[in-house]
Amino acid sequence: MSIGAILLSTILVNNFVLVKFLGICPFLGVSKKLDTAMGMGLAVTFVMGLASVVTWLIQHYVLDLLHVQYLQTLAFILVIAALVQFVEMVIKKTSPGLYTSLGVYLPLITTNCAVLGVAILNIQSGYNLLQTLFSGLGGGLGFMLGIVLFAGIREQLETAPIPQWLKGFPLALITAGLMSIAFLGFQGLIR
Amino acid sequence: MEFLQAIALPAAILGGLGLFFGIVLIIAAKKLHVPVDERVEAVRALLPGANCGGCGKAGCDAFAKALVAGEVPVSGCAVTSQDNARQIAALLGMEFTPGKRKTAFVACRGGRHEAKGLFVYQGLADCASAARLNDGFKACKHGCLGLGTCVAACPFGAIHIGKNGVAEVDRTRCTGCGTCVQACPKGVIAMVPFDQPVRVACQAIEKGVEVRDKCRSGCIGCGLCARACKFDALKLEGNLPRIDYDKCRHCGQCASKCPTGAIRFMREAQGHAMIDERICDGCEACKQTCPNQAISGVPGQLHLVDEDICAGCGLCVPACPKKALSVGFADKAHPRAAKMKMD
Repeated sequence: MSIGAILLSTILVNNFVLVKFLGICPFLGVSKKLDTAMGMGLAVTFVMGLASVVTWLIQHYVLDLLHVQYLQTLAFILVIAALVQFVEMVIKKTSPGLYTSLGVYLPLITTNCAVLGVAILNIQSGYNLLQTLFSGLGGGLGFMLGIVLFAGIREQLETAPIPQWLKGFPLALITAGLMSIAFLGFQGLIR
Repeated sequence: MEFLQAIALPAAILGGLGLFFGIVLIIAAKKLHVPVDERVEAVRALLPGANCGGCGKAGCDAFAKALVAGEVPVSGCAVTSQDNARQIAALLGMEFTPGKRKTAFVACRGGRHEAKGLFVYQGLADCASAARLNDGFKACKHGCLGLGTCVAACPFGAIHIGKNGVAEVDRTRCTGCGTCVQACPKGVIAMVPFDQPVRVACQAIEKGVEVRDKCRSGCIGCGLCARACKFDALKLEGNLPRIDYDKCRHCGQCASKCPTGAIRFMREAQGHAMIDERICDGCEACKQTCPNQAISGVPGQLHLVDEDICAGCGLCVPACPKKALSVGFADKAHPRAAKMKMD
Protein backbone atom coordinates (compact mmCIF):
# COMPACT_ATOMS: atom_id res chain seq x y z
CA MET A 1 0.00 0.00 0.00
CA SER A 2 1.38 3.41 -0.91
CA ILE A 3 2.01 6.09 1.70
CA GLY A 4 -0.72 8.31 0.26
CA ALA A 5 -3.25 5.52 0.40
CA ILE A 6 -2.32 4.80 4.02
CA LEU A 7 -2.79 8.45 5.00
CA LEU A 8 -6.12 8.65 3.17
CA SER A 9 -7.22 5.45 4.82
CA THR A 10 -6.28 6.36 8.39
CA ILE A 11 -7.42 10.00 8.25
CA LEU A 12 -10.75 9.66 6.45
CA VAL A 13 -11.86 6.17 5.53
CA ASN A 14 -10.88 4.34 8.69
CA ASN A 15 -10.90 7.33 11.03
CA PHE A 16 -10.12 6.04 14.50
CA VAL A 17 -12.80 7.84 16.45
CA LEU A 18 -15.61 8.16 13.97
CA VAL A 19 -15.33 4.86 12.11
CA LYS A 20 -13.44 2.49 14.40
CA PHE A 21 -14.81 4.04 17.63
CA LEU A 22 -11.46 3.99 19.39
CA GLY A 23 -10.32 6.79 21.72
CA ILE A 24 -13.86 7.93 22.49
CA CYS A 25 -12.93 8.96 26.04
CA PRO A 26 -10.70 11.95 25.14
CA PHE A 27 -12.92 12.62 22.14
CA LEU A 28 -15.85 13.39 24.44
CA GLY A 29 -13.85 14.63 27.41
CA VAL A 30 -11.53 17.19 25.84
CA SER A 31 -13.74 18.56 23.09
CA LYS A 32 -15.48 21.38 24.88
CA LYS A 33 -13.11 24.04 23.62
CA LEU A 34 -11.42 24.39 20.29
CA ASP A 35 -7.94 25.15 21.61
CA THR A 36 -7.82 22.27 24.11
CA ALA A 37 -9.11 19.95 21.36
CA MET A 38 -6.27 21.18 19.17
CA GLY A 39 -3.73 20.47 21.94
CA MET A 40 -5.14 17.01 22.51
CA GLY A 41 -5.09 16.29 18.78
CA LEU A 42 -1.46 17.35 18.51
CA ALA A 43 -0.47 15.21 21.49
CA VAL A 44 -2.29 12.17 20.10
CA THR A 45 -0.68 12.58 16.66
CA PHE A 46 2.73 12.86 18.27
CA VAL A 47 2.29 9.84 20.52
CA MET A 48 0.65 7.69 17.84
CA GLY A 49 3.47 8.27 15.37
CA LEU A 50 6.12 7.56 17.97
CA ALA A 51 4.35 4.56 19.49
CA SER A 52 3.75 3.00 16.09
CA VAL A 53 7.45 2.98 15.31
CA VAL A 54 8.56 1.75 18.72
CA THR A 55 5.95 -1.01 18.95
CA TRP A 56 6.88 -2.14 15.42
CA LEU A 57 10.49 -2.46 16.55
CA ILE A 58 9.46 -4.34 19.70
CA GLN A 59 7.25 -6.68 17.69
CA HIS A 60 9.91 -7.53 15.13
CA TYR A 61 13.02 -7.54 17.25
CA VAL A 62 11.72 -8.86 20.57
CA LEU A 63 8.40 -10.67 20.32
CA ASP A 64 8.94 -12.32 16.93
CA LEU A 65 12.49 -13.37 17.75
CA LEU A 66 11.41 -15.03 20.99
CA HIS A 67 8.20 -16.45 19.42
CA VAL A 68 5.96 -14.89 22.06
CA GLN A 69 3.58 -12.96 19.77
CA TYR A 70 0.74 -13.65 22.19
CA LEU A 71 2.31 -11.17 24.64
CA GLN A 72 1.67 -8.39 22.12
CA THR A 73 -1.11 -6.49 23.94
CA LEU A 74 0.61 -6.60 27.30
CA ALA A 75 4.02 -5.67 25.93
CA PHE A 76 2.61 -2.82 23.84
CA ILE A 77 0.78 -1.26 26.79
CA LEU A 78 3.99 -1.41 28.81
CA VAL A 79 6.04 0.08 25.99
CA ILE A 80 3.62 2.88 25.20
CA ALA A 81 3.20 3.89 28.84
CA ALA A 82 6.96 3.96 29.44
CA LEU A 83 7.54 5.76 26.16
CA VAL A 84 5.06 8.53 26.89
CA GLN A 85 6.56 9.06 30.33
CA PHE A 86 9.99 9.29 28.78
CA VAL A 87 8.89 11.68 26.05
CA GLU A 88 7.19 13.88 28.64
CA MET A 89 10.45 14.19 30.55
CA VAL A 90 12.40 15.00 27.39
CA ILE A 91 9.93 17.67 26.34
CA LYS A 92 9.88 19.15 29.84
CA LYS A 93 13.63 19.47 29.72
CA THR A 94 14.15 20.62 26.16
CA SER A 95 11.06 22.63 25.30
CA PRO A 96 9.08 24.20 28.15
CA GLY A 97 6.81 25.93 25.63
CA LEU A 98 5.77 22.69 24.00
CA TYR A 99 5.48 21.11 27.45
CA THR A 100 2.95 23.66 28.68
CA SER A 101 0.84 23.20 25.55
CA LEU A 102 1.10 19.40 25.33
CA GLY A 103 2.01 18.55 28.91
CA VAL A 104 -1.44 18.17 30.38
CA TYR A 105 -2.61 15.90 27.59
CA LEU A 106 0.40 13.63 27.29
CA PRO A 107 -0.16 11.54 30.44
CA LEU A 108 -3.85 11.28 29.55
CA ILE A 109 -3.13 9.23 26.45
CA THR A 110 -0.55 6.80 27.82
CA THR A 111 -3.07 3.97 27.89
CA ASN A 112 -5.45 5.28 25.28
CA CYS A 113 -7.10 2.55 23.22
CA ALA A 114 -6.66 4.44 19.95
CA VAL A 115 -2.89 4.48 20.46
CA LEU A 116 -2.82 0.79 21.30
CA GLY A 117 -5.22 0.14 18.42
CA VAL A 118 -3.03 1.77 15.82
CA ALA A 119 0.00 -0.17 17.07
CA ILE A 120 -1.76 -3.53 16.83
CA LEU A 121 -3.41 -2.77 13.48
CA ASN A 122 -0.03 -1.86 12.00
CA ILE A 123 1.29 -5.30 12.86
CA GLN A 124 -1.85 -7.03 11.60
CA SER A 125 -1.65 -5.19 8.28
CA GLY A 126 1.94 -6.31 7.83
CA TYR A 127 3.28 -2.79 7.23
CA ASN A 128 6.99 -2.06 6.98
CA LEU A 129 8.59 0.56 9.22
CA LEU A 130 7.91 3.55 6.94
CA GLN A 131 4.30 2.53 6.34
CA THR A 132 3.90 2.05 10.08
CA LEU A 133 5.15 5.56 10.80
CA PHE A 134 2.68 7.13 8.36
CA SER A 135 -0.13 4.92 9.54
CA GLY A 136 0.47 6.19 13.09
CA LEU A 137 0.72 9.83 12.04
CA GLY A 138 -2.36 9.48 9.86
CA GLY A 139 -4.31 7.93 12.70
CA GLY A 140 -3.38 10.86 14.92
CA LEU A 141 -4.27 13.40 12.24
CA GLY A 142 -7.60 11.65 11.76
CA PHE A 143 -8.22 11.89 15.50
CA MET A 144 -7.28 15.57 15.41
CA LEU A 145 -9.59 16.23 12.48
CA GLY A 146 -12.45 14.50 14.27
CA ILE A 147 -11.96 16.16 17.65
CA VAL A 148 -11.41 19.67 16.22
CA LEU A 149 -14.54 19.47 14.06
CA PHE A 150 -16.44 18.10 17.04
CA ALA A 151 -15.20 20.84 19.36
CA GLY A 152 -16.19 23.48 16.81
CA ILE A 153 -19.71 22.09 16.64
CA ARG A 154 -19.95 21.82 20.43
CA GLU A 155 -18.83 25.42 20.87
CA GLN A 156 -21.56 26.53 18.50
CA LEU A 157 -24.16 24.40 20.26
CA GLU A 158 -23.21 25.90 23.62
CA THR A 159 -25.16 29.09 22.89
CA ALA A 160 -28.04 27.45 21.03
CA PRO A 161 -31.44 27.21 22.71
CA ILE A 162 -31.38 23.54 23.72
CA PRO A 163 -33.87 21.81 26.02
CA GLN A 164 -32.40 21.20 29.47
CA TRP A 165 -32.48 17.40 29.17
CA LEU A 166 -30.39 17.44 25.99
CA LYS A 167 -27.66 19.74 27.28
CA GLY A 168 -24.14 18.40 27.69
CA PHE A 169 -23.37 14.76 26.98
CA PRO A 170 -26.69 13.68 25.45
CA LEU A 171 -26.32 16.23 22.69
CA ALA A 172 -22.58 15.54 22.40
CA LEU A 173 -23.26 11.86 21.81
CA ILE A 174 -25.93 12.58 19.22
CA THR A 175 -23.56 15.01 17.49
CA ALA A 176 -20.79 12.39 17.50
CA GLY A 177 -23.18 9.86 16.02
CA LEU A 178 -24.18 12.21 13.20
CA MET A 179 -20.52 12.98 12.48
CA SER A 180 -19.81 9.27 12.38
CA ILE A 181 -22.59 8.77 9.82
CA ALA A 182 -21.12 11.58 7.74
CA PHE A 183 -17.72 9.88 7.78
CA LEU A 184 -19.36 6.66 6.59
CA GLY A 185 -19.58 8.46 3.24
CA PHE A 186 -15.86 7.81 2.75
CA GLN A 187 -16.38 4.06 2.88
CA GLY A 188 -15.48 2.29 -0.35
CA LEU A 189 -13.08 5.08 -1.32
CA ILE A 190 -10.27 2.75 -0.42
CA ARG A 191 -10.34 -0.87 0.50
CA MET B 1 10.29 -27.80 30.45
CA GLU B 2 6.72 -27.13 29.42
CA PHE B 3 6.26 -25.11 32.58
CA LEU B 4 9.23 -22.99 31.67
CA GLN B 5 7.90 -22.43 28.15
CA ALA B 6 4.41 -21.54 29.24
CA ILE B 7 4.92 -19.36 32.29
CA ALA B 8 8.50 -18.57 33.15
CA LEU B 9 9.53 -17.37 29.70
CA PRO B 10 6.76 -14.82 29.12
CA ALA B 11 7.06 -13.69 32.73
CA ALA B 12 10.76 -13.21 32.26
CA ILE B 13 10.29 -11.35 28.97
CA LEU B 14 7.69 -8.97 30.33
CA GLY B 15 9.57 -8.58 33.59
CA GLY B 16 12.71 -7.88 31.64
CA LEU B 17 10.97 -5.32 29.47
CA GLY B 18 9.45 -3.68 32.53
CA LEU B 19 12.76 -3.64 34.34
CA PHE B 20 14.51 -2.23 31.29
CA PHE B 21 11.98 0.59 30.87
CA GLY B 22 11.99 1.22 34.60
CA ILE B 23 15.73 1.68 34.64
CA VAL B 24 15.61 3.89 31.55
CA LEU B 25 12.95 6.03 33.20
CA ILE B 26 14.91 6.30 36.43
CA ILE B 27 18.02 7.40 34.59
CA ALA B 28 15.99 9.80 32.46
CA ALA B 29 14.32 11.25 35.53
CA LYS B 30 17.72 11.94 37.09
CA LYS B 31 19.35 13.27 33.93
CA LEU B 32 16.42 15.27 32.70
CA HIS B 33 15.38 16.61 36.07
CA VAL B 34 14.06 20.14 35.80
CA PRO B 35 14.49 22.04 39.02
CA VAL B 36 11.18 23.55 40.06
CA ASP B 37 11.13 26.35 42.58
CA GLU B 38 9.53 24.82 45.67
CA ARG B 39 8.06 28.18 46.56
CA VAL B 40 5.99 28.21 43.38
CA GLU B 41 4.25 25.03 44.42
CA ALA B 42 3.82 26.18 48.00
CA VAL B 43 2.33 29.47 46.85
CA ARG B 44 0.17 27.69 44.30
CA ALA B 45 -1.26 25.50 47.05
CA LEU B 46 -2.31 28.60 48.99
CA LEU B 47 -4.02 30.23 46.02
CA PRO B 48 -7.70 29.45 45.48
CA GLY B 49 -7.16 27.40 42.32
CA ALA B 50 -10.29 28.68 40.61
CA ASN B 51 -8.27 29.93 37.61
CA CYS B 52 -10.72 32.81 37.32
CA GLY B 53 -8.23 35.10 35.62
CA GLY B 54 -9.22 38.05 37.78
CA CYS B 55 -5.54 38.80 38.42
CA GLY B 56 -4.85 39.22 34.72
CA LYS B 57 -2.65 36.11 34.54
CA ALA B 58 -3.51 32.95 32.65
CA GLY B 59 -4.45 31.12 35.84
CA CYS B 60 -3.38 30.37 39.38
CA ASP B 61 -0.22 28.58 38.21
CA ALA B 62 0.89 31.59 36.20
CA PHE B 63 0.01 33.92 39.06
CA ALA B 64 2.03 31.82 41.51
CA LYS B 65 5.05 32.02 39.21
CA ALA B 66 4.65 35.78 38.84
CA LEU B 67 4.33 36.10 42.63
CA VAL B 68 7.57 34.23 43.26
CA ALA B 69 9.29 36.27 40.58
CA GLY B 70 8.10 39.37 42.42
CA GLU B 71 6.21 40.73 39.41
CA VAL B 72 2.88 41.12 41.17
CA PRO B 73 1.77 41.95 44.72
CA VAL B 74 -0.04 39.39 46.87
CA SER B 75 -3.13 41.57 46.80
CA GLY B 76 -3.24 41.04 43.00
CA CYS B 77 -5.46 38.08 43.72
CA ALA B 78 -8.74 39.31 45.15
CA VAL B 79 -9.98 35.79 45.73
CA THR B 80 -7.37 34.53 48.18
CA SER B 81 -8.57 34.66 51.76
CA GLN B 82 -6.79 37.11 54.06
CA ASP B 83 -5.21 34.25 56.00
CA ASN B 84 -3.76 32.61 52.91
CA ALA B 85 -2.57 35.94 51.56
CA ARG B 86 -0.74 36.57 54.81
CA GLN B 87 0.87 33.12 54.62
CA ILE B 88 1.99 33.71 51.06
CA ALA B 89 3.46 37.07 52.01
CA ALA B 90 5.33 35.46 54.89
CA LEU B 91 6.60 32.72 52.60
CA LEU B 92 7.98 35.18 50.09
CA GLY B 93 9.11 37.78 52.60
CA MET B 94 6.78 40.34 51.08
CA GLU B 95 4.78 43.13 52.58
CA PHE B 96 1.09 42.46 52.77
CA THR B 97 -1.40 45.22 53.21
CA PRO B 98 -4.89 43.80 53.33
CA GLY B 99 -7.10 45.58 50.86
CA LYS B 100 -10.70 46.29 51.64
CA ARG B 101 -12.82 43.36 50.58
CA LYS B 102 -14.96 44.22 47.61
CA THR B 103 -17.86 42.35 46.13
CA ALA B 104 -19.75 42.68 42.89
CA PHE B 105 -23.05 44.52 42.82
CA VAL B 106 -25.62 44.69 40.02
CA ALA B 107 -26.53 48.35 39.76
CA CYS B 108 -30.00 47.87 38.33
CA ARG B 109 -33.39 47.05 39.82
CA GLY B 110 -35.35 47.33 36.60
CA GLY B 111 -36.91 43.88 36.47
CA ARG B 112 -39.62 42.80 34.10
CA HIS B 113 -42.30 44.55 36.15
CA GLU B 114 -40.42 47.80 36.55
CA ALA B 115 -38.58 48.38 33.28
CA LYS B 116 -40.41 48.76 30.00
CA GLY B 117 -39.49 46.44 27.17
CA LEU B 118 -38.78 47.73 23.69
CA PHE B 119 -39.28 44.56 21.70
CA VAL B 120 -39.46 40.83 22.20
CA TYR B 121 -36.04 39.25 21.94
CA GLN B 122 -35.88 35.68 20.72
CA GLY B 123 -32.19 35.20 19.95
CA LEU B 124 -29.44 33.42 21.84
CA ALA B 125 -29.83 33.38 25.60
CA ASP B 126 -26.78 35.56 26.03
CA CYS B 127 -26.56 39.21 27.08
CA ALA B 128 -23.69 40.05 24.72
CA SER B 129 -25.70 38.82 21.77
CA ALA B 130 -28.85 40.62 22.93
CA ALA B 131 -26.91 43.84 23.56
CA ARG B 132 -25.86 43.94 19.91
CA LEU B 133 -29.47 44.36 18.83
CA ASN B 134 -30.25 48.02 19.42
CA ASP B 135 -28.47 47.91 22.83
CA GLY B 136 -30.82 45.28 24.15
CA PHE B 137 -34.55 44.75 24.40
CA LYS B 138 -35.19 47.09 27.32
CA ALA B 139 -36.31 50.66 26.81
CA CYS B 140 -33.58 51.72 29.25
CA LYS B 141 -30.17 51.40 27.64
CA HIS B 142 -28.40 50.94 30.98
CA GLY B 143 -30.42 48.12 32.46
CA CYS B 144 -29.50 44.53 33.28
CA LEU B 145 -30.73 42.25 30.48
CA GLY B 146 -30.90 39.27 32.81
CA LEU B 147 -29.93 36.60 30.29
CA GLY B 148 -27.25 35.27 32.57
CA THR B 149 -23.94 35.98 30.88
CA CYS B 150 -22.53 36.94 34.28
CA VAL B 151 -24.05 33.83 35.87
CA ALA B 152 -22.15 31.66 33.40
CA ALA B 153 -18.99 33.72 33.81
CA CYS B 154 -18.87 33.60 37.63
CA PRO B 155 -16.39 30.88 38.64
CA PHE B 156 -17.80 30.79 42.16
CA GLY B 157 -21.51 30.40 41.50
CA ALA B 158 -22.25 33.63 43.32
CA ILE B 159 -24.64 35.17 40.80
CA HIS B 160 -28.14 34.12 39.91
CA ILE B 161 -30.99 35.69 37.97
CA GLY B 162 -33.58 36.87 40.45
CA LYS B 163 -37.35 36.41 40.21
CA ASN B 164 -37.76 39.78 38.52
CA GLY B 165 -35.28 38.93 35.78
CA VAL B 166 -32.33 40.94 37.06
CA ALA B 167 -29.02 39.40 38.09
CA GLU B 168 -28.28 39.31 41.81
CA VAL B 169 -24.96 38.73 43.55
CA ASP B 170 -24.70 36.59 46.67
CA ARG B 171 -22.42 38.84 48.69
CA THR B 172 -21.10 36.08 50.91
CA ARG B 173 -20.10 33.85 48.00
CA CYS B 174 -18.64 36.64 45.87
CA THR B 175 -14.85 36.76 46.10
CA GLY B 176 -14.43 40.03 44.23
CA CYS B 177 -12.50 38.57 41.30
CA GLY B 178 -14.22 40.93 38.87
CA THR B 179 -14.85 38.34 36.15
CA CYS B 180 -18.51 39.34 35.91
CA VAL B 181 -17.63 43.03 35.55
CA GLN B 182 -15.69 42.12 32.40
CA ALA B 183 -18.35 39.73 31.14
CA CYS B 184 -21.32 42.11 31.42
CA PRO B 185 -21.87 43.86 28.07
CA LYS B 186 -23.98 46.56 29.71
CA GLY B 187 -21.37 47.50 32.31
CA VAL B 188 -24.05 47.29 34.96
CA ILE B 189 -21.95 45.39 37.52
CA ALA B 190 -19.80 47.43 39.89
CA MET B 191 -17.36 46.50 42.66
CA VAL B 192 -18.56 47.80 46.03
CA PRO B 193 -17.02 47.38 49.50
CA PHE B 194 -18.32 44.24 51.20
CA ASP B 195 -19.68 46.09 54.23
CA GLN B 196 -21.24 48.96 52.32
CA PRO B 197 -25.00 48.60 52.76
CA VAL B 198 -26.08 51.72 50.85
CA ARG B 199 -25.65 51.36 47.12
CA VAL B 200 -26.85 53.22 44.06
CA ALA B 201 -28.74 50.70 41.96
CA CYS B 202 -29.21 52.63 38.75
CA GLN B 203 -26.98 53.75 35.92
CA ALA B 204 -29.45 55.75 33.86
CA ILE B 205 -27.81 59.08 33.12
CA GLU B 206 -30.80 60.55 31.29
CA LYS B 207 -33.04 63.26 32.71
CA GLY B 208 -35.67 62.29 35.25
CA VAL B 209 -38.67 62.53 32.92
CA GLU B 210 -37.02 60.27 30.40
CA VAL B 211 -35.99 57.70 33.00
CA ARG B 212 -39.44 57.67 34.61
CA ASP B 213 -40.89 56.82 31.21
CA LYS B 214 -38.71 53.75 30.85
CA CYS B 215 -38.38 52.31 34.32
CA ARG B 216 -40.18 52.60 37.63
CA SER B 217 -37.01 51.80 39.60
CA GLY B 218 -34.77 54.20 37.75
CA CYS B 219 -33.07 57.19 39.35
CA ILE B 220 -34.88 60.38 38.35
CA GLY B 221 -32.17 62.61 39.73
CA CYS B 222 -34.47 64.40 42.15
CA GLY B 223 -31.70 65.01 44.66
CA LEU B 224 -33.73 64.09 47.74
CA CYS B 225 -30.98 61.68 48.71
CA ALA B 226 -28.28 64.34 48.54
CA ARG B 227 -30.34 66.57 50.85
CA ALA B 228 -31.03 63.68 53.21
CA CYS B 229 -27.36 62.85 53.67
CA LYS B 230 -26.04 64.35 56.90
CA PHE B 231 -22.46 63.33 56.27
CA ASP B 232 -21.83 65.01 52.93
CA ALA B 233 -21.17 61.58 51.49
CA LEU B 234 -23.72 61.63 48.70
CA LYS B 235 -23.71 64.06 45.80
CA LEU B 236 -25.51 64.25 42.50
CA GLU B 237 -23.17 63.90 39.57
CA GLY B 238 -25.01 64.52 36.34
CA ASN B 239 -28.36 62.97 37.08
CA LEU B 240 -27.07 60.18 39.26
CA PRO B 241 -26.20 60.10 42.98
CA ARG B 242 -22.69 59.12 43.84
CA ILE B 243 -21.75 57.78 47.27
CA ASP B 244 -18.37 58.49 48.77
CA TYR B 245 -17.81 55.18 50.53
CA ASP B 246 -15.21 56.66 52.87
CA LYS B 247 -17.61 59.29 54.16
CA CYS B 248 -20.79 57.19 54.14
CA ARG B 249 -21.85 56.26 57.65
CA HIS B 250 -24.44 53.71 56.52
CA CYS B 251 -27.37 55.54 58.11
CA GLY B 252 -29.63 54.74 55.18
CA GLN B 253 -31.42 58.08 55.21
CA CYS B 254 -30.87 58.51 51.46
CA ALA B 255 -32.35 55.12 50.68
CA SER B 256 -35.43 55.80 52.77
CA LYS B 257 -35.98 59.17 51.06
CA CYS B 258 -35.52 57.79 47.53
CA PRO B 259 -38.93 57.83 45.81
CA THR B 260 -38.12 55.12 43.25
CA GLY B 261 -35.93 52.74 45.20
CA ALA B 262 -32.92 53.42 43.02
CA ILE B 263 -30.78 53.59 46.16
CA ARG B 264 -30.64 50.25 47.85
CA PHE B 265 -30.16 49.67 51.51
CA MET B 266 -28.99 46.13 52.16
CA ARG B 267 -29.66 45.42 55.78
CA GLU B 268 -27.56 42.25 55.81
CA ALA B 269 -24.46 44.31 55.04
CA GLN B 270 -25.17 46.73 57.85
CA GLY B 271 -23.57 46.85 61.27
CA HIS B 272 -25.30 48.41 64.28
CA ALA B 273 -24.39 50.23 67.48
CA MET B 274 -23.36 48.08 70.42
CA ILE B 275 -23.26 49.25 74.02
CA ASP B 276 -20.68 47.78 76.36
CA GLU B 277 -22.86 46.91 79.37
CA ARG B 278 -19.91 47.01 81.75
CA ILE B 279 -19.19 50.66 80.99
CA CYS B 280 -22.60 52.24 80.28
CA ASP B 281 -23.87 54.29 83.19
CA GLY B 282 -27.12 55.44 81.62
CA CYS B 283 -26.22 59.09 80.97
CA GLU B 284 -28.64 59.27 78.01
CA ALA B 285 -26.17 61.12 75.77
CA CYS B 286 -26.45 58.48 73.08
CA LYS B 287 -30.22 58.30 73.29
CA GLN B 288 -30.45 62.01 72.53
CA THR B 289 -28.14 61.94 69.51
CA CYS B 290 -29.73 58.94 67.79
CA PRO B 291 -31.69 60.18 64.75
CA ASN B 292 -33.76 57.02 64.60
CA GLN B 293 -34.66 56.64 68.28
CA ALA B 294 -33.06 53.22 68.27
CA ILE B 295 -31.64 53.53 71.80
CA SER B 296 -33.88 53.19 74.81
CA GLY B 297 -33.31 53.17 78.54
CA VAL B 298 -34.07 54.83 81.86
CA PRO B 299 -31.61 57.46 83.16
CA GLY B 300 -28.97 55.89 85.35
CA GLN B 301 -29.48 52.41 83.99
CA LEU B 302 -28.04 50.34 81.16
CA HIS B 303 -29.29 51.49 77.74
CA LEU B 304 -30.22 49.14 74.94
CA VAL B 305 -29.95 49.36 71.15
CA ASP B 306 -32.82 48.10 69.05
CA GLU B 307 -30.87 46.37 66.27
CA ASP B 308 -33.82 46.44 63.90
CA ILE B 309 -34.12 50.21 64.05
CA CYS B 310 -30.45 51.16 64.36
CA ALA B 311 -28.98 52.12 61.03
CA GLY B 312 -25.41 51.91 62.27
CA CYS B 313 -24.64 55.55 61.48
CA GLY B 314 -22.31 55.82 64.48
CA LEU B 315 -23.43 59.27 65.58
CA CYS B 316 -23.81 57.95 69.12
CA VAL B 317 -20.21 56.70 69.33
CA PRO B 318 -18.51 60.10 69.85
CA ALA B 319 -21.46 61.28 71.96
CA CYS B 320 -20.78 58.75 74.72
CA PRO B 321 -18.58 60.29 77.45
CA LYS B 322 -17.60 56.83 78.70
CA LYS B 323 -16.69 55.40 75.28
CA ALA B 324 -19.06 52.51 75.78
CA LEU B 325 -20.35 52.50 72.21
CA SER B 326 -19.08 50.98 69.01
CA VAL B 327 -20.52 50.10 65.63
CA GLY B 328 -20.08 46.61 64.26
CA PHE B 329 -21.60 43.22 63.90
CA ALA B 330 -22.72 41.21 66.92
CA ASP B 331 -21.07 37.80 66.69
CA LYS B 332 -24.11 35.94 65.50
CA ALA B 333 -24.99 38.55 62.92
CA HIS B 334 -21.49 38.88 61.53
CA PRO B 335 -21.85 37.69 57.96
CA ARG B 336 -18.20 36.90 57.57
CA ALA B 337 -18.07 34.98 60.83
CA ALA B 338 -21.11 33.01 59.74
CA LYS B 339 -19.44 32.20 56.45
CA MET B 340 -16.26 31.04 58.13
CA LYS B 341 -18.24 28.58 60.18
CA MET B 342 -19.79 27.25 57.01
CA ASP B 343 -16.37 26.71 55.47
